[in-house]
Amino acid sequence: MPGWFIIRLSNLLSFRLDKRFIPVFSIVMLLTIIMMIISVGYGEYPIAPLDVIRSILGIDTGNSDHALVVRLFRLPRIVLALLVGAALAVSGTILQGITRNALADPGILGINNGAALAAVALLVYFKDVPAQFLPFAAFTGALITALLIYVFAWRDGSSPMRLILIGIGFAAMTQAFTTLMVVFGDINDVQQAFVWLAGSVYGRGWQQVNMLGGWLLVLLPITFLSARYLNTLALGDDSATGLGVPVEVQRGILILLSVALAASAVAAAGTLGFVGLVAPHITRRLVGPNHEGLLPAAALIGGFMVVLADFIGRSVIAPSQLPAGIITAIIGAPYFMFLLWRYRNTT
Amino acid sequence: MNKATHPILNTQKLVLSYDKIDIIHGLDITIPKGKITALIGPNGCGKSTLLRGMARLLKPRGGSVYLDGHALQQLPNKDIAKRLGILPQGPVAPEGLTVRELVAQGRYPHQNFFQQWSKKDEQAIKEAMTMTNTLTFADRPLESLSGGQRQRAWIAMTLAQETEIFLLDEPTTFLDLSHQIDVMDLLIDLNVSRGATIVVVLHDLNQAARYADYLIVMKAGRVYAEGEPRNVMTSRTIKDVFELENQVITDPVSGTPLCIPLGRHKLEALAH
Repeated sequence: MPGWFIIRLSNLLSFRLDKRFIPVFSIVMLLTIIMMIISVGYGEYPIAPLDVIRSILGIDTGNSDHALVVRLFRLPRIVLALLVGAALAVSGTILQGITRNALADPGILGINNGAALAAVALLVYFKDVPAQFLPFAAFTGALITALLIYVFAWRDGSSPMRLILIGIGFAAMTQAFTTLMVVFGDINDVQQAFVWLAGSVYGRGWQQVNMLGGWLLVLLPITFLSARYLNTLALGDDSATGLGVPVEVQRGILILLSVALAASAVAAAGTLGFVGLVAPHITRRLVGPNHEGLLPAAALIGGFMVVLADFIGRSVIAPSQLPAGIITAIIGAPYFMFLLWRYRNTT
Repeated sequence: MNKATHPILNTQKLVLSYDKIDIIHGLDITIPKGKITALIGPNGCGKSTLLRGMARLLKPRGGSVYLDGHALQQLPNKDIAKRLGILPQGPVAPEGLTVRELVAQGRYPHQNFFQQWSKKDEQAIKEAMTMTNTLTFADRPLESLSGGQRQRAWIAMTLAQETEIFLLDEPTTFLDLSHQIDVMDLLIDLNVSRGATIVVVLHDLNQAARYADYLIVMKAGRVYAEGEPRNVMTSRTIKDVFELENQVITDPVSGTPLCIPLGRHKLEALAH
């Protein structure tokens, strides 16, 4: 069949993918690996690409500093960038699928604002709590806000349109509370909160990688297995019901997956805007709208984007650093405008 | 339970409502098996609501819809989807989705975790696309097609589901005349070649009378009349249901009833 790559194992197993998936995935994979090696090698203490590869693989490079710099300082940060990008991109892909809105991103479920509110509250009002609790607070804040939006949007079922509208309302409300705390809070605490919120993988280590990696190990496979539900939900609630999909159950599970993915990313690196919006978009243009290919490809492209944003942030005004979240916003915002302009005539 | 003793699709004391306002008030209807049934009536009479109720898109507030004697609520989702296909009004598709991809979605109820694209799936979508004449533009995205082509693609998706019952909500609205006839011809093909039971909401009375074996005329959430078109579509019925002066003549080509509406100006002219 044209357009499809079909896998069939006798009468036991069958599966199909968009033909574009394999070349696109391979090329982006290669680009990501190259970008990561460049990024690990880059810095005040530059390391040649070959030595970077050797150090990662644990081969002696003849310079004992290499292993330390690569494995302890630089690699975890860059792996975290990859994971954060993947989590945000998959979260956005799910949301755009279930809301049938190409302009939706994890922000509409209050994930960013909820995390911000909880983080600022912790830093400003609960100073005795150790800083390690920040990710947990952010995660919980994101989850609670998303849950409230879902509950408030429920009326004889959850409608994607109501989710978006209530989401916008909640975003404004949580932001207002955050502003309130910022205005009355101690300036040093507030500054600390803003640095965290700006979205950066600066100074992150293996601990954050392990935590986010653990989440993704559970969440990503479940999401990839839900691809066919996303495909049917994209045809509208009526069509999906007609095909025998339990619409509300599946949508609930998918929203939960999306929220958990974005919240764990925010907990690890603060709020990185636009990745969850732009990555699914670019991926859809490359591999088509079928979620079997779209989800894994979006994960990789999102990962690549954040690795790249982190690299740009580190190099553009070196030796000073810009948070990756600022770079994604600088690149993402015009892209968002372009999308708005492109969709201006569609309902 | 013996299949033969039960109607294929029927409702008992069915009450359907939107926002707690009842639209359908305790309806008992039986859809004739292997026939084309058209639901007609004025705007707001509840014909689309009834179809949505039968398609389980709307939960009944009272009574039930029965498929072979089993209440829909008690049947597993996928089992219903293997027997009853629906084409909702104004369906949406994501940008870039090709006709082939759309039609392939129709196989969902026949697939499972391990079998997501069997030879049988491939066969079914090929058949569905052949029948709807959509193979020539199978790899084009839906948004690039004309309204008529798009509607045929959606019907192909429903066909790929390989059900014996089809419920269609105003499939001809917004299409130009030749595409309307295309769609209606397709429904006849389906009825003849697969012995499918078809229920379709139609706006055009004459189309309904010409293509349907059975008419259900609705008014204000109740059945006003039902039966074969030649018995049901009378000048009297149309006057009562649509509040429209009219004459019903026999269609010289198909022999079915044909309604000629009489506007106010025509009536005044006739009175002189």
